[in-house]
Amino acid sequence: MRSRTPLPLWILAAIGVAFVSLPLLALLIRAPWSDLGTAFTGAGAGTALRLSIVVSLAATVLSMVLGVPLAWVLARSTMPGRSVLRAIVVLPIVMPPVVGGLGLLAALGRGGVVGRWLHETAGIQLTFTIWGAIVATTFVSMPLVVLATESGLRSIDRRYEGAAAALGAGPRYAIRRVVLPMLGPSLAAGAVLAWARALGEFGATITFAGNLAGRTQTLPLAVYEARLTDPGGAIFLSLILIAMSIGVLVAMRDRITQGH
Amino acid sequence: MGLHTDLVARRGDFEIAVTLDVADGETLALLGPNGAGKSTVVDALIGTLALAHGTIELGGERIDMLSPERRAIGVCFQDDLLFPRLSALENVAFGLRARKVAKAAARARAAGLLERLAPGVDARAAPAALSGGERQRVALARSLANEPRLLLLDEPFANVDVSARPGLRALVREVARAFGGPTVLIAHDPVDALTLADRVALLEGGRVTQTGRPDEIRAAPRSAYAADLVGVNLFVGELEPLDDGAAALRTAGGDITVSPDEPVGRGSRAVATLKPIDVSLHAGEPEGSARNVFRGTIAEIAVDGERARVRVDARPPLTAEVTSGSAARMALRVGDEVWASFKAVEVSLQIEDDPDRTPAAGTLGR
Repeated sequence: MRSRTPLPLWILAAIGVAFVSLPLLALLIRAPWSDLGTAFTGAGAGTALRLSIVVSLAATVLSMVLGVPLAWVLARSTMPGRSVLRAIVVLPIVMPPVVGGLGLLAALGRGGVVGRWLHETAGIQLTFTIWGAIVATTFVSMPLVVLATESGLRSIDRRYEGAAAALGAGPRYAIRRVVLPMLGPSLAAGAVLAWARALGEFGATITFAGNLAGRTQTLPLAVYEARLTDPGGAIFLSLILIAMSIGVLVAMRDRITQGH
Repeated sequence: MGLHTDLVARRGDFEIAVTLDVADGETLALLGPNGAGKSTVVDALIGTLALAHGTIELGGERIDMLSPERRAIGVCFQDDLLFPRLSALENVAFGLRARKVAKAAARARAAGLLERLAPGVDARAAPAALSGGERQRVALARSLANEPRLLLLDEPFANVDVSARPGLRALVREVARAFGGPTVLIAHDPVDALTLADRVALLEGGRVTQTGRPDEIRAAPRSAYAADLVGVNLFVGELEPLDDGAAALRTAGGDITVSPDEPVGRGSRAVATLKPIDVSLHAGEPEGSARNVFRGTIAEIAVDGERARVRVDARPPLTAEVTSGSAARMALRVGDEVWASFKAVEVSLQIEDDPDRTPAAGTLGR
């Protein structure tokens, strides 16, 4: 049976929808459609787009490689101080990204606590390179993988692992055939959330990796730079980002918007 | 040989201390209420819970130091615990594949087990697409796939629809009979324990309070709990339809009249239970509507507070429960002649071997 929704709720909901959709609509209206070709090349869209895709995918992979084992430890180990550890790990979600970038600079910059040593012994420099952009992006993306994976792991009845063991499966076989398949939706959700976050990353990247076209200037950075000199190009770049985000939402519509 | 445990295990503040001996080819039911420690015993046996001390010996070998995957116990879990992302066939083949049996061979063996234990179940189906009874049949096949040395059946009927239970119970009986090693059946329903097991061990508060053959325990329950749990009147026999829709249940100890919900076939095997409180006692032949009236002599009177359990030697033998007040009023004494009666509708009836639901006997080899 459907209950009737009161009118005031309808009104507020309509304002909410307008609030979210109006900027999108405005961008579409203001886009200089007649100068499409020149605006595109002028803003260096192709380069920034390529870089954004490479950086965001690399950051997603790195987030998964590090984040999934981390989630496993948080969900399954009984060591003391887990809640403190979890708080530290998910801090980048609530922390201003620019602060994260500063922290990365202090740690991994050429003169940083670890970065100096990296540079002197191995000749590795992260700042102002694509690697720096990947590191900064992973910093903000990985916590999303950790959260999604950990909650997925917690929702799996641990007796399944006991059952697998009793049936003769060693821990690795049980993880591969039983736990990971059950964890699939959570892993997918974590990966997509991390990728979407990576695609929009701005603050940590520009602070830590800089804003060098072709090396660290991803789409959001390109939008930021173009917004004064070439507003039309900035709008086009923004629309590209929006299109990609919508693509993510459509691909994941059921899993993210309805849970799993 | 067989299974011998003498174990102590703890989970939080709760402790179990359980000694069990099950011979090869024997089925022992571990019967207890919720919270008695049944699942703790299961976890200790399969090794997901470490023993505080004690030993588990299986087939002449100590297994309590082995990790769960090396204990060779075939477990049929409560809630079946079929792996949701694997098909029925992959679930059955899981243990074989974990032990590096070649894929084709594992699947062939799994398919054979499924065909015998779960006929009509689509081997490619995901567990979620199967009924509770079908899932439990697949779980049973899975527990046998690895040729275990111990069969551990953890409340296999708990999540199974009442209508599917009798067929599944008959199947479990067949499986346990064909299985050559010891079988442990964890149960909280006394009917399961009393009809499937060679011996019953009662578990209360983490301790085994009584062990014996089902008839021994029913004849002499040692605690009020045991009396409530297993003191039911139990009749196992074959049905014969009567003209008026009722049926006669012919048992080795005598015949009773029951009232089935649906027409029954002649010769169907059935298990019937009757609560002692539904049996009335009379000094003389009673008048009234009860269809089951038996004359016998009082074999035993056990008074427990306000209640008295009276065992009547009749054909069939019956146990009645009366208040101790009315026992005194009737001046019941051991050796007295007495009339016992109960209504056919009070008898709870489960028909077991509907031929459509049960695979033919003798097809369940290892």
